[in-house]
Amino acid sequence: MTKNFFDKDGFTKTVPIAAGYLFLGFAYGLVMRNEGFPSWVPILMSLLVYSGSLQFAALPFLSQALHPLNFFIFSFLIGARHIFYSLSLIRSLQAMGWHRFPSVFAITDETYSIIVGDKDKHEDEGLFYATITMAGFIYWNVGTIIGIVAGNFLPFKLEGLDFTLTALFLVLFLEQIKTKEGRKNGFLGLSFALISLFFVGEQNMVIATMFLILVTFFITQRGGKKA
Amino acid sequence: MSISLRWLLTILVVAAGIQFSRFLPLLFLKNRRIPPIIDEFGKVIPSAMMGLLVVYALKGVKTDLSLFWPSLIASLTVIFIHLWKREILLSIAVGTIVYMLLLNLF
Repeated sequence: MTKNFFDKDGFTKTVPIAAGYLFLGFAYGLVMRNEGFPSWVPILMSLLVYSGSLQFAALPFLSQALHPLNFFIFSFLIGARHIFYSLSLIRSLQAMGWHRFPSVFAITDETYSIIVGDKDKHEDEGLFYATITMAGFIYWNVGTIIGIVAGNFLPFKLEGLDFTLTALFLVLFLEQIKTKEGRKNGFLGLSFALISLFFVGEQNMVIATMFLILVTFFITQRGGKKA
Repeated sequence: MSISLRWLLTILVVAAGIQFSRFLPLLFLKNRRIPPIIDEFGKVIPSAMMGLLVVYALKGVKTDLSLFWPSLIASLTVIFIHLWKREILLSIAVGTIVYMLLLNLF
């Protein structure tokens, strides 16, 4: 068991995502101040939720009445891909001690890719994972704080700044559709979302889309097994 | 309830939702075997979710049609710039600026 505070190799591997996380966290903090929220709101969101896509996607919730169950289910579904991240790392996670908690708490798309892309051997795997995830966490939260401070200097509300949300999702979508599988599933999700939006409206579109995706998946799986 | 309390509770609920999804596999300690079908589904989710989120982000256009042209043009800008340079922050920055400018025109 090493007595190190963090894993140097792990930290080095997070450098490529530092700029992105700092800027996006900055954008989040800025947008939130621009919308008029007090500083503690985005600070707390970035600390507890720590997910760019969810933090932006859940923005409307703050202006609505509290619907605990709907918000929980929505957040769970948007965060559903994290289930598979933890799941695929389960053996390593179960083998490590308390490092599993920061490793899972702060797992994100990018930190997950760094972890699975790593080919080196590590004496203390828990420390390695935790260093990576917590480095990302720090970049994001520092970015948020800087964005909030910048937001304090906005002379008036900048209309349309929240388009960063749409732009972010578009960009992430374009990254997903680089592969054949990604294209297939990406456009499937998009189509189902459009259908859901027009049939069940804004409030229910997320859960309706997830339902359609699930059903389609199991139908095609069963078809595959019979062949 | 006060607005601050409502915000606090909203944040806690949203955080609970995503942290539950992150920790879910760890909570099911006994299940050491991951059925292949779950693994397969896990490959479908990230792409499908992004498609969903794109529509989700643009859904405001359905109720406020004055956003249609700014959204369309700015979105096409993001797509074009990203396919050209593949620089995430650049694509987001340019697209957002285009959108904000167009809002003043329409």
